[in-house]
Parts: sequence; C-alpha cells; structure tokens
Amino acid sequence: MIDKRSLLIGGALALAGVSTAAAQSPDVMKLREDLMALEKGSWGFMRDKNYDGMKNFLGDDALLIFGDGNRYNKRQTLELMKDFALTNIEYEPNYAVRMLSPDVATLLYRVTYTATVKGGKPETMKVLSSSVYAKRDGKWWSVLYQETPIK
Amino acid sequence: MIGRRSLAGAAVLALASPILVETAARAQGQTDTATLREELMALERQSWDYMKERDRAALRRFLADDLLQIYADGSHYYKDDFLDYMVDYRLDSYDIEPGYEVHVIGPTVAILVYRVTFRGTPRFNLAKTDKVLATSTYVRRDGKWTGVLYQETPSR
Repeated sequence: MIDKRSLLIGGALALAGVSTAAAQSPDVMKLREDLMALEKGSWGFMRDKNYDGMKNFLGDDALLIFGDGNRYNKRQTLELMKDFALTNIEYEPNYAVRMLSPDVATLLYRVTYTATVKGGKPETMKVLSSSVYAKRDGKWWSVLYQETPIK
Repeated sequence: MIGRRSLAGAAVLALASPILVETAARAQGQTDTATLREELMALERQSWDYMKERDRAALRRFLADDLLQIYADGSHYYKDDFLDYMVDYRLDSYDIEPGYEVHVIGPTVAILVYRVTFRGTPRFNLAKTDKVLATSTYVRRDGKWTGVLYQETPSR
C-alpha cells in the first residue's frame, strides 16, 4: 500500500495471527504441514512438467501472480509450464498458515528458485509467497498464489 | 386449439425452466459479485484515503487487528507496526486502475485484485512512484467485510 517502509521486520516469518510452529492447535499444525506438502508437490509438477498433476492442483478459478509482475490463470499456467524449466528450489523452514475460514487457508513461506523460460538465461528469484487454498468437496485446491520479491 | 397451444407452451416452459433458473441464478451471481467488487473496492479506497490524510486514528479503527501487509519491497507489517510507520510516511497520490476484480473464494472470503500506482515519501527519503499488482483478502466477520491480508508485487 505504501512505498519503502523503513521499518523492516526481522527475517523470520513470525507473522501475527499466523500459525508458525509454536502454540497452535494440532489441527491447524497438521493443516500447515498438509498444505506445505501440496505446495511442494506443485513445484514438483512445475519442475517435472506434470500437467495432470497441476490440473488437479489448481482450482479452475486459480490466479497466479509471479515475482516479475506477470499474472496467469489456470490455462495460462499450464501453457507456461511448457516453456518453464525449474532447475533449483529451496524453501525456508519457517512457513506459516493462516485460517481465513474453516474452508479457506493461506500458506506463507519464503522460497528461492532458479528457472529459465524458453531456454533463456537462468534467473534466480527469492520471494515471499502466499498461497490461498479453498477446501471444495473435501479437497484443498490452490486458488491464489502470489510472490513478492525479497532481498 | 388454444388449449393445445397452451399445453404445448407449458411443455416448452417446463423443459426450459431449468435453463431459465440456471441463467437467472448465474445472472444473480454476477450481480452479487459485481456488488461485492464495488463494496470491497470502496473499503480499499477508504484505507488509501485514510493513509493519504494521515488519519492514524481512523486507520486504527478501520483495520483488522490481525491484518498483515506485505509490500513490494519485501517488507511486511502487522497493524501496529504499520500505524507506527505511517507517522513518518506521506502518501501524495494514488491511482487505482479501473480493471479491478474480485475473486470469491467462499461465502466469507473474497480477494480483491487490482493495479495501483502511488507516489509517496518515507521520512528522509525522496518521493518515489511505484506501480504494483495488489491483492487484498477480505473475510466477513460479524456481518462486515474486513481486510486481513494485503500483498503487493512490483508491476511494470
């Protein structure tokens, strides 16, 4: 909302109202692990060009916003996968989950990845990601993914 | 003749009614979504306006206690941090592009997506113009929509 904010909050995702590893209900902690497993799985789909896996991960209404400012719907993401080669990915260990309703949750994490598009020069991105999941017919679907570049 | 036509008409209507009901429901859904889009954008503009007016007290009342904001420079703020920060920040202008949209995630969760260009000055710094793609996640609590997560991605 505003420009450069000089007050930088310390490195860890110690986010207020967010479930990190400490002092959370077992259910929420389990969900945190479940969603992170789904999230890592989706990066695997990207790396392996597993279109069926990605189709079964993204909700039909999914929106993805990458750190370069580009946005993609589900169809466009599947299209992007053809030209996208993910060569390295590292997750920071202190991810968090925030419950927005019983059936909607946001996963927050930091990730660094290296990728090329259309065989171009490899680019490394370090980002703070939020990933919103909605539970529909008993299954968690990714409905919004957004990256913000970090230093 | 008339009777037969009426019967035929009734049969056509009976066949058509599920389609009409579905069409009507879809139209209603679109109207509801359009209304929500405007309602949430009005709330969003309100927070920008409070920022521009440097109305800290109004923002304290307006913002959810568990609000988390992630800015384009990678920093993130909780409500109290943000209120502290705004003491030293001057927002000169902001311009929200008209193509904003709402994604209804569930009955009590909706996400506003928009592009905004703003110019501001943190204390001791030069004014700078930024263009970002922003999402603002709202939840419905006690009958009111409240923003709980705001995130920016730098945009061209």
